[in-house]
This record gives sequence, structure tokens and C-alpha cells, in this order.
Amino acid sequence: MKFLKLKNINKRFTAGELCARPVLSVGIISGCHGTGVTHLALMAANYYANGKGYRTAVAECSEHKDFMRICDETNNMTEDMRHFSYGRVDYCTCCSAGELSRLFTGRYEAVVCDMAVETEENFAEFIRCDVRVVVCSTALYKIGRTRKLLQKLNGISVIPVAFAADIRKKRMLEKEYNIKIAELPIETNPLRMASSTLEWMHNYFPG
Amino acid sequence: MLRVAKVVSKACADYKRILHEADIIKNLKYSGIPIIFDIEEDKDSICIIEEYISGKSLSDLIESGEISSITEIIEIAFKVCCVLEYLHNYAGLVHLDIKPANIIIRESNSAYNTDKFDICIIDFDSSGLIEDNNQEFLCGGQMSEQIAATSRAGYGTPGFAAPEQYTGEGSVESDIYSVGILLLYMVSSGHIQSVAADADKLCKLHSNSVGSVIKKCIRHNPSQRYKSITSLKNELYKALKKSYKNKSLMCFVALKFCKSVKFYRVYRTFYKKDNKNNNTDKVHNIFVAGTKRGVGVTHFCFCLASFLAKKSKKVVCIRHGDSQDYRSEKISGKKNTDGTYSCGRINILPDYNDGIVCDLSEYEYHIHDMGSAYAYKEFQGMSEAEAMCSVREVSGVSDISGFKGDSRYILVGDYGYRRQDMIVMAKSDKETIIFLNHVSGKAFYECVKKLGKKRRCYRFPCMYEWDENNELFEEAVNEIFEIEKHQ
Repeated sequence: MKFLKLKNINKRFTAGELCARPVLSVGIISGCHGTGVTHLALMAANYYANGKGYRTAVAECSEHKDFMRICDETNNMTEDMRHFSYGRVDYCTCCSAGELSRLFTGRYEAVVCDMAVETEENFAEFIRCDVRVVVCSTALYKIGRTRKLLQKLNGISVIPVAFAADIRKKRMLEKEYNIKIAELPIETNPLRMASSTLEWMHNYFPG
Repeated sequence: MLRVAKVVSKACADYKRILHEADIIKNLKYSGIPIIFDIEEDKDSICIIEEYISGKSLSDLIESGEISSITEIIEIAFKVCCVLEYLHNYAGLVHLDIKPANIIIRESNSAYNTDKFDICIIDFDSSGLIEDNNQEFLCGGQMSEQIAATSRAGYGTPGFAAPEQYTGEGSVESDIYSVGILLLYMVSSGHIQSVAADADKLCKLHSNSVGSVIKKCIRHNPSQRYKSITSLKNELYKALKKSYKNKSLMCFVALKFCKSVKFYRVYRTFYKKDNKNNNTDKVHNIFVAGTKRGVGVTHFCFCLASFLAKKSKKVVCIRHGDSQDYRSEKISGKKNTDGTYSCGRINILPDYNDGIVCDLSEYEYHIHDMGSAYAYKEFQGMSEAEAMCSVREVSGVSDISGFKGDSRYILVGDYGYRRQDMIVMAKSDKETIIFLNHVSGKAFYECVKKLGKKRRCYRFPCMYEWDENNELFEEAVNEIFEIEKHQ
């Protein structure tokens, strides 16, 4: 009781210590390659780090090593390629389960997990996340995989999103699985988003 | 022209002072200054042959109530400024004893002279030379110590002399101060009770004409007065025009109204169009930094933004740096579509670190809250440009050179026990305006003295809420933007 009283009085000054936010884990997954999971993960990381001001890390929970290329492109070569920072976001390349748990218990307020394609190993981790985002694709050669993933996730609350989806097929999926697929705004550079995208992220991504 | 011969005995105590005065006036040729034709000297006395000035002194005219209208008052002050402009800019002199008794309004004998107030300034025994390099006054001109002791050089008349004259200093700004007091004297019909209180009262009475001019002239700190007599003259000229305009305004309105309703409508449409086009081009960037953390940079930015918003300006406060101030629960208000947050009347933009691109072209004023990064870099002995580039590195502002429009720099400082603040303030660029927070009046003047006359220093008054009305703050900010307009 005494502590709470103290907390109330000094809320403004001790916010950092007493009212620190619990870590928010965001998992982004897809049924197949090339749907824009990494793009969305970077957008989400940018939103939490710069839009919300959270201490943010983005973890690559796959083997595709795209983050290493980011390290290359942004001339961050002096840093460790597996753990580097850019634009207030800490990047963790080829993250193992152990490293992921260290991120969750570390100093971060938001951890975005780029799960890429759904596998047996990363699915369990995805279910454990606070915010679960599924990137759907309506392309002819991908819609089957998307259906499969949505079936697997039946009954679990997720945020289904899609980049430039065919409206008819999107409506079909929505009807089929009783979900509402959000249309993602097109951003050429996920690390420099427009303010309208910020508004969109604000509506769909909790935190 | 009538001449008069003034014979002064060498035994007279004032002999050297009178000779010094005659020496100064001898070389001056201007209609508002008496003419000295010759100075003759023998063993026992000197004889000065000078112009005979017939007329009444300004103090007599004011006391008798012959001058009362505001237009006449401004006209006289304007003419005094014309004479002083000649003295300052062409003769390299400062008068240092401007008072009503030293201003003579000549009697006009000529039918051709339609000038109502033909003024003449007398009594040059306090005057001195202006040094060319830094416009500083050489006390007592080129007189010896003995002469200086016998004369009143540099000290003027109590009540009309500027505060710095009491310590033996004097400059162009001292004459400006005296003109301010002269104006105050005329407006209050020769009854000045208290300079500050009267000026406040008059400002409210004559807010559109001389009130603000008087207030600016009689600032205690010389650097806060008008920079030159020419700028004061221009300001009085504007007031004079306005006062003439007011007289004929009713006739003008009646005449024009009937004829020009149609024209006005057309003009309004064009004006609106023009405004729309110009709005995006004219962006005022105001960079505000602090000497250290917790000095009140964010509070200052919000106060400034609130003040400008009250004046119907579109303002946005942009945060640079890692600080979470703008995201705290207390101030995060309604979110707008352009990425900004509305907090009452003001809009704020947290530091998105280039991650989110916002279109701020609709805002006329961009107040950049730089935190204490600028000062941190400045402390390391960097130039302003370098420091600003370093701010980019610290705060992640990608392209500091890409800021369009004019830029102004404000440094918020403290004058406490820490030496660091003083070093940062002294090292900052001379164009940077300094606002001192958390200081008493005594500490403020001490700091101003240390920083030198040329620095523009203001005291940041105690404001608990950023949207509260504070006359002192509003006055200071008004002054800054007025100065910018002139530049």
C-alpha cells in the first residue's frame, strides 16, 4: 500500500523504473515465401521504435539472412553482423530459441519476430507471441498454403493482413475463415514510412 | 541671421567645459544644431560667436500645454531622431544629454518656413566620440582627466540619462534611452511618476503608436533597445504615418466603402490565393537548445508555440533526440493524420528519427526542440555549423541543410553555480538569442554584463503552464519577431 502511494506521488519521475512496460512480443508469419513478412516486420519494428518510442529489437527466426544484407547496405560493417543497430532498432540475425528468450527477458519493450514461413519449430513460438500477424497471399500458387495456415490457426486470434491482394479472393478467404483481412499500405521503404502508414499501424498493432 | 557673442572669463569654473562644447559644435553643420562662427581667445577670456536661437524650450511648451496631441509629440521625437542620426552616423558623436530643456523649438520668422516645429538641440558639453570599431563611447571625448573632472561628460541629467551613464559608460543606445524618456515626458505632459509604471500605462493607452516604441527605448539592457537611431526614426515615422492616417480614416472609409465593395471581393479572392501559395514557401525554423539537461527547453518550446498559436499562426514543435518528453501521457493528445499530436492549441511531433516521414508544409512555424545536444557539442569547441551537423548525428536528423525558410537559434541557459553554462552561452554564435531560466533579476544582469552588450539576452519568466498568458514573455517574443521583420 505504502509503495503504491509512493508510486502515485512520484509517477512522473519514476515512470522509467516503476511503470516500465512489459515486453510486447509480435510474431509475423506466412504460409509461403515472398508474401512480405520481412517487409512487414521491418515496418512494425520501425513503428514501435520510432512511432511509439519503445526500445525495440527485431529478430530473424529463420535462415534467410536478409538482416545481414541490411547490415551490408547500411554500412554497419564495423558492428557484429549478427547483432547490430540501425534507426533505433536492434537487429538480431538468425536468432536461435535461446537468443530469443534472452531478448524477451532483456531491456526491450517490443520484440518483433520475423518468422518467415511457418514450420513446426517456429509455430510454437508464434503462438506464444502477444500479437500474432499472418501475412496472407491471394496469388494462385500461394493461396493454398495460406488456406492451410489459416486452417491451422482456426480459433486462435490473429491479425490477418495482405499486400496488394485480389479483392475477390480476399473476400472469399474472409468468408471461408470468418476473418477480416486488412489491406497493408504500400511502402517502398519500410524504414521510412509515411504518416498515413503510421496511422494504419496505430489502428492494427496494439501496444 | 542674428549672432551673439558669448564672453567667458578663464577664471570661470565652467570655462573648459564651455570651450570643449564650442570645439565640438564648431565642426557640425546641420539645421538642428546651433552654428558656431568663431572662437576668439585672449589672456583672460574666450569669446564665442554663435547663432542666436530665438524660441522656447520643449519643457516650457509642454508645461504650458501648447503641445498635447500625439501627432505633434511623435513629430518632435522624429525630428530629434533626425538630428541624432546626423550626430551618430556622420559626425561620430553621441549627445548623452537629451532632455526637454535642451531642445529648442525655434520661432519661425520666415513666411517660407511652413515647418511647425523647427527644432534645435543645444548643450553638447556631455557629448563624446564614438569609437569606429565597436561603437563604444570614449568617456569625455578627447578631454584630459582634469577637464573630465570639471565637466559632466558622459553623465547626462538624472532622470533622462540611461542607466549605463551612471557608471561612466555611454553609447548610441544611451541617446536612444533618452529619446524614450523624452517621449514619455511629452506623452505624460511632463509628469513622470515612475518610468516603468508610466510606460506600462501608456503602452496600453497608445498601443498602436508610441507605447511599444517607448517601452523598447527605455529597456535597462542596452542590447534590448533599438540597435540604431535610424531604426528608431523609422519606427516613429511609421507611427507618424499611422497617426495621420487615423485622422483621415473615417473620411477614407466612407469614401471608399461605396465605391470599392466590388473591388474588395475580387481582391479578397486573389489575396486568399496568394496566401495559399506563399504559405508553403515561407517556413520559419526556430532551433531551441539548452545548455544542459533540465534547463527548460521543451517548456520554452511549448510556451513559444502556444504564444504563436494564439496569434493564429500554424505552429508545430518538433522534437529531436532520444527524449521521451513528447510521448509522455501528460502531453500526448489527439493524434492527427499528419503524424502530429494536438495538445490544446499546439501541435507536437515526437522524434520519429526519419523512420516516419511527415508532411509539415502546412505549418508556418517549425520549432525544433534540440534538447541539450547542441550545447553538448558546442561545449567541445565546435562551430555552430559543425554543432548542428553533430546534432544530426546525435538526434538522427538526416539533413539539417534541407530546412527551408529562415532559421533562428535560441539557447536556453541557466546562470547557476556551474561554470559550464556560462562557457556554453559565451561560446554560442552571436546571432543566437539567449533566454535565461531559473534566474533572479540580480543574477540575470550579472550574466548579461558578463556576456557583453551586444548579446541579445532575455529572462524567461516563471510560467507554470505553457498556455498561460505572461506579458513579459509575450513582449520578449514580440520583440524577437519584430526585429526579424526589420532584418
